[in-house]
Amino acid sequence: MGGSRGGKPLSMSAASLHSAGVMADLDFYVGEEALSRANTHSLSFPVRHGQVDNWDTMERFWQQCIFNYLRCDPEDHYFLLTESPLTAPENREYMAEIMFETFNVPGLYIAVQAVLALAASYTTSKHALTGVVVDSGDGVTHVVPVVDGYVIGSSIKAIPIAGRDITSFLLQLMRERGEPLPLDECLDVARRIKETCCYTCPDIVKEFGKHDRDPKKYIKQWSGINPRNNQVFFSPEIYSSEFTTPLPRVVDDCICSSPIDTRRSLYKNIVLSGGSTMFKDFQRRLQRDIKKLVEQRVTGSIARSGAQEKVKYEAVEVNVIGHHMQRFAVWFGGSVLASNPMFYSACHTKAEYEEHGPSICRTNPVARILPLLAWREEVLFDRGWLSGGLLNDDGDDDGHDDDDDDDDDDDDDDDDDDDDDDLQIKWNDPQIK
Amino acid sequence: MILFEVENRFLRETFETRLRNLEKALEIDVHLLEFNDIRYRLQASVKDPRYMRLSIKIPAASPQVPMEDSLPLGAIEAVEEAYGTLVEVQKVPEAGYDLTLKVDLHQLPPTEEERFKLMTKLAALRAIIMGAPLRETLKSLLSQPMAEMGETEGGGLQTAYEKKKNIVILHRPGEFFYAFPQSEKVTIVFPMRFKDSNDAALGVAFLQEFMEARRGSASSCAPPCSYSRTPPQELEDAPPLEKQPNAGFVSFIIFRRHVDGERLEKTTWAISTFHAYVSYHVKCSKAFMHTRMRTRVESLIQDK
Repeated sequence: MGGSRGGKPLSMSAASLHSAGVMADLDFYVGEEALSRANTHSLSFPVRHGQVDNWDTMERFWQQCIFNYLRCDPEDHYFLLTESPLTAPENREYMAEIMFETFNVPGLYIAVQAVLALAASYTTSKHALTGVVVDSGDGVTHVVPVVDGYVIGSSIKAIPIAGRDITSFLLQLMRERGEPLPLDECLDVARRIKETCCYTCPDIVKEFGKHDRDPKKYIKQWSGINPRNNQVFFSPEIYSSEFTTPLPRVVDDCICSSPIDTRRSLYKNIVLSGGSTMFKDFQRRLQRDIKKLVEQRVTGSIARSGAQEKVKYEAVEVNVIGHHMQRFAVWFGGSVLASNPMFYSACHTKAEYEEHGPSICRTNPVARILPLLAWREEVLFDRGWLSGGLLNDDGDDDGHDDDDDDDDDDDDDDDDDDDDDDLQIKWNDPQIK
Repeated sequence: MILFEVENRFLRETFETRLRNLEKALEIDVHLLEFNDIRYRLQASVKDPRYMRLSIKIPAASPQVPMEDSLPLGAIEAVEEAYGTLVEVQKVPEAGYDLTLKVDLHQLPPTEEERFKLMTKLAALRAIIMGAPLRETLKSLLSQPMAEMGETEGGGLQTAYEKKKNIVILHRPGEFFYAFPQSEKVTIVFPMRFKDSNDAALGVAFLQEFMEARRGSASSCAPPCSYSRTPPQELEDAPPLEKQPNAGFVSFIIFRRHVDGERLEKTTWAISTFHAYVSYHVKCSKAFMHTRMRTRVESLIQDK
């Protein structure tokens, strides 16, 4: 199933070029193919910071996904699209219009990515659909609290720093060092360095100390390039002067602004999703920092109340959860959801759309999908995804995180427009007997 | 993308991954679905690394279409001809599928290039199977003696073709097209049907343009093509259609020059996916119109 995300879920680049000519409107490519043709075609990114920004290219992006990559006839299949939290309902209507009017899909469900990401992590945590999703893709990072499948909209925090910013930060570092980079490929080079060499270190000051003592260790000879630690999330001041709250604090604030009765279970289940959370030790560092924050606050308030002896308090459990499917968590959750035969009952059908208009797609009932998600374990087992044998989290690191439209249908073919890594095989077998 | 690719990209990539890891045993179980209701299943198991199994399910036949063992006529022969010893057709196909091939990885050709070519061909299994009856019909053009078609022996040949009139070929669930072999040419007639009435209207406009475009000088070598809302005369003695098409009839006339050598495969593929082609382009035109509409709305807003 093709991947993506954003306002619509998608962080791949679609290139679209309008050179004059008879077939000009068909002369475009998406994803990696688009990137590789950057010198002959003009590039455009239809999704910016999680919101669809250019509907013309988005429509073509879908067109290409459906016909060229999935090779399916959209009239035969129900579709599951995902959107980032806080997308305006009008966007959902617009999505529905395109899907129903252009592609004549028989049914559509628009899911919130955070809920799907949470569902995907279910195997490692035994909670119902309650947790905080830290979703960091290419354009934007969101921290989203979800309680029983419902997103607490007022507590969502967005951080304007994500994969693309790390890439440009790296680029900036390399420029400062005076690395000879070919102008048109420099972004791509930076992206690859990000994916292969970046890591999270426990303490930035110490790490710089080490670097100063022995800089050779930090320079890869073959490329002559300096891989830096992925500190942007934890010390954003090194990258941007406008946004300086570190990620752990954002997560903590997000939980503290949620209803008080949900906070413990939210701390217990912090789930990572998206390509920019894949850095080495990211999870450990985040867990450590949040724990520190929580403990400081708790001991502080106990000390202030002056009742150390009398108060017995239960330590707050903080868990940050990473898992095999982390990178494609949203896709994975969507795949599980859509594989359920009852998925159809949660969808808006074309008949309903024609009767009521696009406004019906403003709401997509979570309640109706909850029992479906509870069903996932059997599915995973059925597909061999739980047995462990198939899942090796070897670093597959190529570029774009995300997939976007998850298509599903009765037999749920999925195929991925991501490219050729071995993992893919294991990823794409959707059908449940 | 203007025409559909012959091979399934994902199937090809899966095969290629397998080829690159020949020494390793991989566990693969992939289900795929393609336009016109074609389903694939590709399996490889760690226990038996020498073989891969590829199953295919094609759309269910309607009674008018002659089939053998729920496969199009001549499909098995076409598979054997295309893949040679590499595959073995299983007598009992996988449950729920119409045909299962056992791919023997020990029989791969020696060079890398040939291997990948063969794998690409395997990923195009549907073209081989679904195109089999049409390919046979078109091939008969090649075997016809060119010159003396006309007066002398023409009569005899004509009667031979009389018998084989009205070849009905399935191309999507419940729908089929007709091939009429005549001397020196094969006429193909497509009844066009769309589920959605808007699509039907756009389809009609598209096909009229399509016919016009064929008249242009750029495509003078292409098969002559005609479009009409009423059944063409060839269909007079064909079995009656269950449902009247809502977007008229398209006919192509294929001559020998369209099936020479490598063109045979291309022609067969283009014709057998013609409906998917039209429906894809109808959707593209909608997207194109939406773009125009958006631009127009924006310009109106600016004018205020």
